Amino acid sequence: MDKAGWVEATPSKLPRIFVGIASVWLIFHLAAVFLMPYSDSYFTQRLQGVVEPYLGRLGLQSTWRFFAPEPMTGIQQIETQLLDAGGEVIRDFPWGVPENGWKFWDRVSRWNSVGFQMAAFPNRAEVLLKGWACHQPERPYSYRIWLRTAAIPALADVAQGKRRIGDGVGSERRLLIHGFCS
Amino acid sequence: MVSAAKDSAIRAWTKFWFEADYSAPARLLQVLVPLLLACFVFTRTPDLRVFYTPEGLGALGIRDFEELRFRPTIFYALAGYTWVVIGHWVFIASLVLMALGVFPRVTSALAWLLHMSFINRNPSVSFGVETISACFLFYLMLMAQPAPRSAIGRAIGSMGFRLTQLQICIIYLFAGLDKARGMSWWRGEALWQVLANPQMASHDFGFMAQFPGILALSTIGTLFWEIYFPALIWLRWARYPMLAFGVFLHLGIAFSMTIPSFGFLMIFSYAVFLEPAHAASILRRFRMTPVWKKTQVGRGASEENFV
Repeated sequence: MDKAGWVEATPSKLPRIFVGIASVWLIFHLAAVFLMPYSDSYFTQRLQGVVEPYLGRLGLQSTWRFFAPEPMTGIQQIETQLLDAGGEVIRDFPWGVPENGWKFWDRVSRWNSVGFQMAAFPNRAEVLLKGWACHQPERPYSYRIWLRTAAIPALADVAQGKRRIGDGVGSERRLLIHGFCS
Repeated sequence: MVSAAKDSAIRAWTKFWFEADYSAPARLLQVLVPLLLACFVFTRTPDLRVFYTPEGLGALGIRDFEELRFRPTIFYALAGYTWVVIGHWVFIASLVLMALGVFPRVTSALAWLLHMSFINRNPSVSFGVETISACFLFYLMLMAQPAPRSAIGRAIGSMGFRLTQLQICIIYLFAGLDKARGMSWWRGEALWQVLANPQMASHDFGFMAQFPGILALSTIGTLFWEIYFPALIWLRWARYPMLAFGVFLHLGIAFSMTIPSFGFLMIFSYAVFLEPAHAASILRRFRMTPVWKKTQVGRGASEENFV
C-alpha cells in the first residue's frame, strides 16, 4: 500500500469468487447495454423481459439515436389556447419558456422537449397539459392544443435569398386536442 | 498450449477490467461532470412546479406510460411541491459535494438516485443531457473509491472506469450507425437541417448557407468520426486526434445549438480517455484533489490503459 492508500489489485489479491461474480455481471451488463438499442433484433426480443427491467431501473435504457437517422426535418411548434365556458379564447400563445423567465438555453430545450413530446404523441398531450392548462390564473373551462408545422428552408433557397430561416413560409396548423378542465 | 492461452486470456481480462490505472481520470470526471450537472440542474429551479407537480405537467397519469414500467421515482410517494423543491436542492448539494470529494460514495449514490427520480417523474422534460448523465452518475458510483484500501474496492472502481469508456464508445457507435441510415447525412445536409431549425439553433445561422462545402464536410466528418470512434480511440496514435475532433464537434454543438450542457458533458467525459499521467497533471495544475484530504491522486500514474 502506498502513502495515498492505494493498493495494487493483482489477481492474487482479488478473491476468485469476486472475479467470477464480477465477470458474469460485466458480461451480462455489456450484453444488455449493447442489445438495448437494437429493439427489433432477435436477441433483444428474446431477452426483453430481462434486459428492459434491468436497464430501466439503472437509467441506461436509451437507444442513443441523437439526430438519427435524420435530424428533425421540420419545425414543430405547439400552440395553446385557453377558453372560457362560452368557447371564447381567453389566451392564445405558443408553447415555450415564459416570456418573463430566465432564458438559459438548457431551459429553452427543456420546454421544447415537452413540445416535441406532445407533437410526437398527441394522446399524451392531454395527460401532460391538462393539469398545467387548468391551473392557469384565468381558470379556463377548456383548452386546445394545436400543432404548427413548417418545413426547413432548403439551403440553396436561403443562399439565393429566396427564403430566410424561420420565415414560416408554408406552415400549417392542426388541432391535436380539445380538452376540458371539469 | 491450450492451458497457456487460457491463462493468458484470463490474465488479459483481469488486467483490463480490474487493474486499470483509473484514479486520476476518474477523479477528473468526478469533478467536471457533477459541477456541470449542478449548473444544468440549477436551470430547472423556476420550473419545478410546472414540470414535476400534478398542477403542472407532472400529472400522476404519467406513471402509466408504457416505457416507465421499470423506472421508479421517489416523487410519486413524495408528490408535493415542497418535496420536489427539497429534492432539487439536495440533488444540487450532492453534486457539489461529490465534485469536492466529500463522502463520495454517499453523495454519488444520492445524486444518482435523485437524478433518476427526477427523470422518471416526468421524462418529457428530459433530453440527451439527462440520459447520458444517468450513465455517468451510475458509473461514478462504482468509481467513488477515493482511496480504497482493499483490492476489491480498487477493482470495482476499475470496472466503473472501463464501463464508462465502453459506454461512450457504445453511444457513439449507435449514434453513428443510425445516422448512416439517413440520406441527409450522406448528402451532407444534416447539419444544415439542424442549424436552420430555430427550435434547435441558438442563433441565426442563415449566413452558413454561403458555405455549403463546410456544412457538407462537417456533416460527413461527424458521421465517419462517430462510427470509427469506438475502434480508433483504443489505439494510442489515434486517440488524441479522435478526442480533438470530438472536442471541436461538441464545442460546435455547445455554441450553435440550444443544448450547451450536452456539448460540454461529452467533452468532460473524455477525461476517461486521457493518459493517466496527463489526467494527473491536470488535477495537480488545477488543484482538484478531494477537499478533506490531499491524497496524491494519480501519483505514479501510468500509460498502460491503452494499446
